[in-house]
Amino acid sequence: MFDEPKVIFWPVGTGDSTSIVVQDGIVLQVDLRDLSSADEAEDDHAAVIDALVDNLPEVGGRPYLSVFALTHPDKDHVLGFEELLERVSIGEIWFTPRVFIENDEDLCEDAVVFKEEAERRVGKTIASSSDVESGDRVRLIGYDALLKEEEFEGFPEDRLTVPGNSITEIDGNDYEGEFNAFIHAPFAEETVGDRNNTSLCMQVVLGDDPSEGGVLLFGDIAYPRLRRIFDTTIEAGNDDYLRWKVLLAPHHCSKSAMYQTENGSEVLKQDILDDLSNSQVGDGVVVASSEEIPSQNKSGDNPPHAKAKKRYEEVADGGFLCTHEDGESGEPLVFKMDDGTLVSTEAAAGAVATRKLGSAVDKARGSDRPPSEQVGYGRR
Amino acid sequence: MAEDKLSQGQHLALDQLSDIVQASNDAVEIVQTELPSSDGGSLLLHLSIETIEYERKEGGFKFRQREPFRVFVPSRFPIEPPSAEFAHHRFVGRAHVQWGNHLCLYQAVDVEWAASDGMFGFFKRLDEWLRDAACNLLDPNDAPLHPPIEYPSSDTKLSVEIDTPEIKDGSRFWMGAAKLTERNRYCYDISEWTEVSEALPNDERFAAVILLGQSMPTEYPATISTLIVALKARGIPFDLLFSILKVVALCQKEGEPLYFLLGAPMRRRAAGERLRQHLTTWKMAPEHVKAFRDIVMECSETDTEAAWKLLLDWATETKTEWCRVYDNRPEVTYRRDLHTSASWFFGKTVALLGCGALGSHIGEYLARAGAKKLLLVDQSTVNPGILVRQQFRHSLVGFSKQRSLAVQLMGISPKAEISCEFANLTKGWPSKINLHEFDVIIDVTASKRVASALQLDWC
Repeated sequence: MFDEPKVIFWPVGTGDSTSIVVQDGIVLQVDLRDLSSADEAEDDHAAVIDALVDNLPEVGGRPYLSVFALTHPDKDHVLGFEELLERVSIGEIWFTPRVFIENDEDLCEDAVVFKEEAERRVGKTIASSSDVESGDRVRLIGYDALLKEEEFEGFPEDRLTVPGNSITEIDGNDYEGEFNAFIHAPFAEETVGDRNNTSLCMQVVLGDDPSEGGVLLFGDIAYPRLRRIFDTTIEAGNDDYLRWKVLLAPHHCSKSAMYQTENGSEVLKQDILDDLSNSQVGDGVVVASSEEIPSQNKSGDNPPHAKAKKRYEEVADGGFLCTHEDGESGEPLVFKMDDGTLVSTEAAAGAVATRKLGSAVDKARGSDRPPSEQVGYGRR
Repeated sequence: MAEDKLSQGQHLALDQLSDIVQASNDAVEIVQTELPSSDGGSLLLHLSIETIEYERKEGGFKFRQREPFRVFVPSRFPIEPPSAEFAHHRFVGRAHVQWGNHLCLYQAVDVEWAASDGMFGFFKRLDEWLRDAACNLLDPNDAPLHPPIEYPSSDTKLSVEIDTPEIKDGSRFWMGAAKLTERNRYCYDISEWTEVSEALPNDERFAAVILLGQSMPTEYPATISTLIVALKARGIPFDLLFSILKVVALCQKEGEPLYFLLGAPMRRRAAGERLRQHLTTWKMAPEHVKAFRDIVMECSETDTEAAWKLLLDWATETKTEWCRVYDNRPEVTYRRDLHTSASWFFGKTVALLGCGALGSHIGEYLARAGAKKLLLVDQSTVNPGILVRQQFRHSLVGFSKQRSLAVQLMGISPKAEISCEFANLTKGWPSKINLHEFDVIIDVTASKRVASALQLDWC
């Protein structure tokens, strides 16, 4: 499974678990949602940790995961981390420490374990002046000011990645030309408030040319941050880092990515859909990592949202896929590298021989024929 | 309240659309509704329509799983049909898509739009359009091509009466001039093409002509600069364009505009026929024509400098002013009386005996049918009483009928050879007229004596 470059979206309900294979045995796991129900036979959720343990290469007698990156410590992105840490050797972890400013009681148990593990690695890195081995490595995603804080005093600068820059190193090895993760967010001043807004956002390219498009992972951000990412990146002349072949729909296909409430009304922000449309490369595919998307939502429903799915269907040339609607039950959606570009192994639904619009008209009219019109000379 | 601005018809449109949405099982979604801001304004509907069902074939439109549309419902709906456009410009340049995103749904609204079917008929047509677009059937092989679009902004019209010259083998274009004959203050006829060598005669009027060997964009350039770029991409560099404009500008009278005919092989009359030139005409304002002349004539240094500046402005800033072209070329048109009885008379030589209650009407039919030669014979005059039912004007009272009718028919068919003869047919066939030159002789004198006299002559 982890033998060639690919991107794997696991069906984990409404949450994220994405595995990115850089080369044989080198895997970047972005977020985790491992449900205990996944172990049951009829359940269509993937047992991600089991799959990782079964398929990762063994190093020192244990399954070895090169990197675990956490976009933000919400339960639907970190569920099962404690078990993962017990069963798998994790070479390096990437995280945005600002999101841990909150009190531990606001975090789920797995997030607390992640925080403690991150703090352990930060402490060891400071103590060893960056000379740490796999299993103790950590990369901070944030801004220079972070290093002036007491808990990060002495943390080596080369282990810090400032948004607006790329990461090509994985667990001590440089994969430039094969792997590039361009960090778009979080933004400097967004340190408190809704954790979703502080998500780690990045474009991951499995190759050397970001203009060929990669996978956009935007965590759980909503329209304002999405807008800001596009504006900031374009202004900096980094348009290529917005190019995508695969877009993981932010916040599990939430309509908050393209709808905003203004003056009490829900307003569609077509501008961001136009930008997403224009930045796709070839037949881009939008993936929703969520439970099956209902045909309609009630006001106040959590994601996934039917409206968002429809908007993405208007954007993606290669179609829209959902981890729980497409592909085999319980199996992930996989995008392999083919001739330098990411290609889905699961085609979006193709044309089917129906006449939905025409049939709807017939049904609404009550007949498949238009009303006959009187033609004559005015006589009956 | 904005809802107060909705007309009765727009309320009906919303009701019908609501029924369609409910029956559509999510295929149609109303994303947003913008009510008219004033009385008589359009209702704007932002719709999302599932397009995954339309199977794509080679050359067809590549739809996404859903497509966003804007539908405008006029206040006079359902007398006036709604219009639709894509909410994006991905299909710019495709046939049947105008202004970059507007769907050309109806060829003849008066015939195709059924007011009584309202939004149901509109969405049925939209459904058919999308299906054909995906299958590349908007221009089926057995139908004429949808012509490219240019948006006329000039009052001047040009009627092209003859086929265009052929582009020689190995050449990418034909360049020359077209002789303009003024039909009236609004319309010129083009009935002669000429190749240009050095100069054109000053006593006649010409338009510059370039016929391309390859197609232009479906929507023609809106500015001179984009037109220049489009021509350059098709093998016409600016110096060549400049040279033909220069020659034609020199023979223009002071204060008159210059017309430029641009042809591109983008028309087909019927299935299987090769592509013919689609002609458009662009008008150059008199001040720009003068600038060309000043440059060529090498007036004073100051004038030449000003002329170059003006031409530079023209080339970079000016919008193209397109004229309407009435295409009457045999190679791209079918006569509207094709396959009717009247078409038998096309090219025939006809003698019409009697120019009164029957003859004045039949004469007009013959002229319109394209009779090549017409002889009109009568011996009476137009009087006030016959104006009730005969085809003569009030001002012709007192003139002979055959001559009056001849003048009228010449106005209808100036290319026909029309003559008249004052003759008393009760005395038999006029000896000076050669009976055998006619394909048909029509006796509408309503005179039994004339019929008998002719019978006696010919038997």
